[in-house]
Amino acid sequence: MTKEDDTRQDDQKLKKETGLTRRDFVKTGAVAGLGAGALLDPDRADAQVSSTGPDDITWDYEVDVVIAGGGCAGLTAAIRARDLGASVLVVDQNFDPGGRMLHSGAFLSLGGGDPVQRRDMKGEVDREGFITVDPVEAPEELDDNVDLLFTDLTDWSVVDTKAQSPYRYNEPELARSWAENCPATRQFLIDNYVRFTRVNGTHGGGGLSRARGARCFLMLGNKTDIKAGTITAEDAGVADPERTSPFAPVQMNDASRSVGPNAVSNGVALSRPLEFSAREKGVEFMLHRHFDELVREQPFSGRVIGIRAHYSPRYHPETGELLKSYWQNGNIEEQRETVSIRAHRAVILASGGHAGNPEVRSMFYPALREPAFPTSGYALQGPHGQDASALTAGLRVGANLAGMQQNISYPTTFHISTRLGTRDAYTTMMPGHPTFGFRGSAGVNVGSVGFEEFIAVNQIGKRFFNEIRLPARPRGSRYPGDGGAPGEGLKHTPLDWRNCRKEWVRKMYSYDHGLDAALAINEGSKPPHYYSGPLWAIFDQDAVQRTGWELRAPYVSDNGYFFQADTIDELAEKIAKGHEFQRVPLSYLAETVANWNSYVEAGADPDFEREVDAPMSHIVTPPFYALSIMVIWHDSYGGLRVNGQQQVVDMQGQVIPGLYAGGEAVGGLNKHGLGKGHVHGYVAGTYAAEEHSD
Amino acid sequence: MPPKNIRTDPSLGLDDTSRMISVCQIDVSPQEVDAGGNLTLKSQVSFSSAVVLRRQSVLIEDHDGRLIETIELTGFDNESNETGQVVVKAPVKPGTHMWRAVCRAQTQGNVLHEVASTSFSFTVKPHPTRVVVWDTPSTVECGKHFDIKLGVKCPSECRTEGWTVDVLDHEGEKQATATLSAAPWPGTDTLYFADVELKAPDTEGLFAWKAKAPGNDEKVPHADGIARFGVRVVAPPKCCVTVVAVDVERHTPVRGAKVVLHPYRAVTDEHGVAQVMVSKGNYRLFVSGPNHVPFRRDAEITTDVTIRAVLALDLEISDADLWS
Repeated sequence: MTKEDDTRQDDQKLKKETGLTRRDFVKTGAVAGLGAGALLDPDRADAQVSSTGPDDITWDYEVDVVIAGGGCAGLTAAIRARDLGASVLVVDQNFDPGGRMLHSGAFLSLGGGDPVQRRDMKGEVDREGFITVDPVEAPEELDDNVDLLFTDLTDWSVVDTKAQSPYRYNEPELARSWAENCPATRQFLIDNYVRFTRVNGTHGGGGLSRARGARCFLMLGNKTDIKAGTITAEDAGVADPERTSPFAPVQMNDASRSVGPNAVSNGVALSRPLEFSAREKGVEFMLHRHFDELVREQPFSGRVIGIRAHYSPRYHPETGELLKSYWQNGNIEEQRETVSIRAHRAVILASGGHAGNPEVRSMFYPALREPAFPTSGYALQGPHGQDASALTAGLRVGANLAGMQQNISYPTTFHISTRLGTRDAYTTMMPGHPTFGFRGSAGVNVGSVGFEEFIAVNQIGKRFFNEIRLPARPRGSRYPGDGGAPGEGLKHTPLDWRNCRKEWVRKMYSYDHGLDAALAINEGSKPPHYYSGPLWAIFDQDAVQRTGWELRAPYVSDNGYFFQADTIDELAEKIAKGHEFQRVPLSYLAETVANWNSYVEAGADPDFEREVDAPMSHIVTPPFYALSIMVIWHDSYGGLRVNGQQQVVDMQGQVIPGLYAGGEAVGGLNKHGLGKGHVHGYVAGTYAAEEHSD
Repeated sequence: MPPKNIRTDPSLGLDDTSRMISVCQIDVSPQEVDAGGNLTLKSQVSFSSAVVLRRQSVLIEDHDGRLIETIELTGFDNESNETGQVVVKAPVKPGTHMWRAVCRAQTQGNVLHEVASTSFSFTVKPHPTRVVVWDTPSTVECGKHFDIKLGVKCPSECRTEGWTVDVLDHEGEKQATATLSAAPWPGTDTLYFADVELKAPDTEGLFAWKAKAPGNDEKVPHADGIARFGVRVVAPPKCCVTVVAVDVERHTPVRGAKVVLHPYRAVTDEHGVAQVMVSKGNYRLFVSGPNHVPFRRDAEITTDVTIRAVLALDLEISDADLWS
């Protein structure tokens, strides 16, 4: 039984934990920074100062706040904690900070009446005057507030086109905190050199009621200058359509329609400014360093007091030289195999999700234990990217999990890419960035309609689904509300039971199960894993002539994801010999192609009814080609359970003192994209910096 | 048979000499090999007790006792002596071949290692012959002539130039014999080809024809190669379907769009126009690509008709949408 007084106490505590208040901002910058001086000289690495920690630990470094991961959540948390006076060390497994953010489209969906929404509502421009176009959204589409955003994030009634419920299972405390801190986070990012385009739409998981998303941009200029907001065409990767730069792993996009002439946009315009600001403010970085485990006073009790991390060097794929970050200031060069880092105030886990760890992701979809299909951005992130390090370490000290089922409920969590012929099939990375060699080829983006030009076969050379429907993806449930609720835009009524009336759900449902067929057990699947194996687009020279696909470098290469042969039999042999995950011969390929050609002649595909969707074409004209088709597990939704302050919570519902988490390491908020991570980082950085220093 | 260690009879004049019978084993890969192809061999010789054979070899002999290869024993794993892997050429004559691996007698100290041998077999197959047929028209009018291309490839890289290929109709009657070109088809490594003129049957229908490259034994035996292809014979079409393909947003002609009214096909020109002669009947019209979502319309064609196909661009999912 709960006593009345207890209830009141709980309510007060909940109120206190629901996001930051104005008082929190007043505290910003109140404490002098400690910076590098707080770090121990590696020569004095024998210092063991913890009075509360395990006796046998020798700390190599000491700092107020240690952050595992330098992506959207990690960098934001780092700057925020640094602003609040903490010494901060970011540990990242890669050679350059930024994580997926650097690689992203920088579509940042926040809301709740954030500064960019308000700017556009008033028809104003940015403070530097870069924006010269009118607002995209009407004022009423931007008229937002925290309560409406929170309602959207917890709207039980929304069912999407995959018959999933994207908002129903969100953790209310986490959602409320996120909503309350969106406006402050937007301002924080602006204050750290991030420029936002006009608001246009909302990202998946960001609600159906209002427009809340804006992209980040820089202006093309003669000099790359973060403070001035300019970038050269070469650095932006727009000077040459087939080349990018070490500064921008992915070529930047034209943003003229949402900013004005010469504006370019993508994650570079978000990640580089934040990294620049972090380094400028004294955040320090230990790169090539993989976060392995947490150090807690007792295995399942007491504070988290530090981390251990191992050396994870990445070398240039052609020269063999150690890869170096674009900026060096603030880097700590450390090559010892393992170091222990003491965190006097807190550890923040921001090392990403588990999409790059086939063993972990198999808990959601066992067929995706198949290692042939990596997570997105594989080349940039390297073999440790998204490897569930936070999840693994959290579980070892007793952390709870949240929202694990939400991995299944976002349309892009896993899908079939329209970019063929590259293992890293999610991006347009071109030569010029040092990690391009890990990719080997940029791939050929055939678009959805390109799938009518070939047959798709599995590892034994058999077709498995109607090719036209393979790349189809259900739409995310987001403003303007056309993805999973009756009506559009402002017509959406939150919490209305009609949103999920079964008649409507039946009408709206549009999920093609091609991906599931692609991952199905086939005759080549062997125990114990029963891997489904790689997938191949098989086509002929006529298809190349019809489409104009450029089967040349840098789009394809001899990296095992593209093959050409004089005959179909030879093609099968080349694939079997040349692809790293082709474990069995494509024994049926010649028969499959022969059958297909007979279907084309008959005008009907008895296997998969292709004739319903698109014309069918023979595969007869030599040479013959194969391009890999990739299933991509993009991102993670399930993860560590946290409260509204981003504190990690254990299996008994108790906070694990000294431990915070954000971004894809966290579950319970089914929000796609960067917005989730930045707000998490902002909140975590705030509360971590305010922790009592032991 | 397990190895034996036998104390010899002194009366045989081998006083104090042990005779050790050894066992020779051989691994052959693959068991089935193309004529003249590569066979990988590896041999092991073992004894009843651990013995290291020095400077000893295993001889590979064919069925006539001719020496094919000598492989030196180079390794010892505490139980048996083994050779490295060696690659030899298989015979060109198809069939099962029985060869022998022999480890000659050798005396080390007062131990005589007797001759050990083992037979092994493998099967030689004729080279496959792969035939490809393309450029077959989607329809041919009854009794009219039409052209196709055919090519032949030996996966073992034998040059097929000058080979002859027969084209057989649905009743197995030879319709043409073609001689392959001196140069491979553009874009291929060794696919030698020929243009062939054929005459369609006089009746409508879909006929299953085939191109057959007869096996030959000129230098290396080759198996027959066959490719099947369909010949769609139609009555003279009466109706002209004119398709005008237009981009829905730009209102510009879509050039290079596929127009399919099965089995009739055409491609739009620079004006976005394609004309297809079809027989009267019910059709499903597809107009698609490049980069446009297929336009589909079911229609009964009874006379000349013009159809405006308004094509929607395949909106690429941008990286920005994907990534953020």
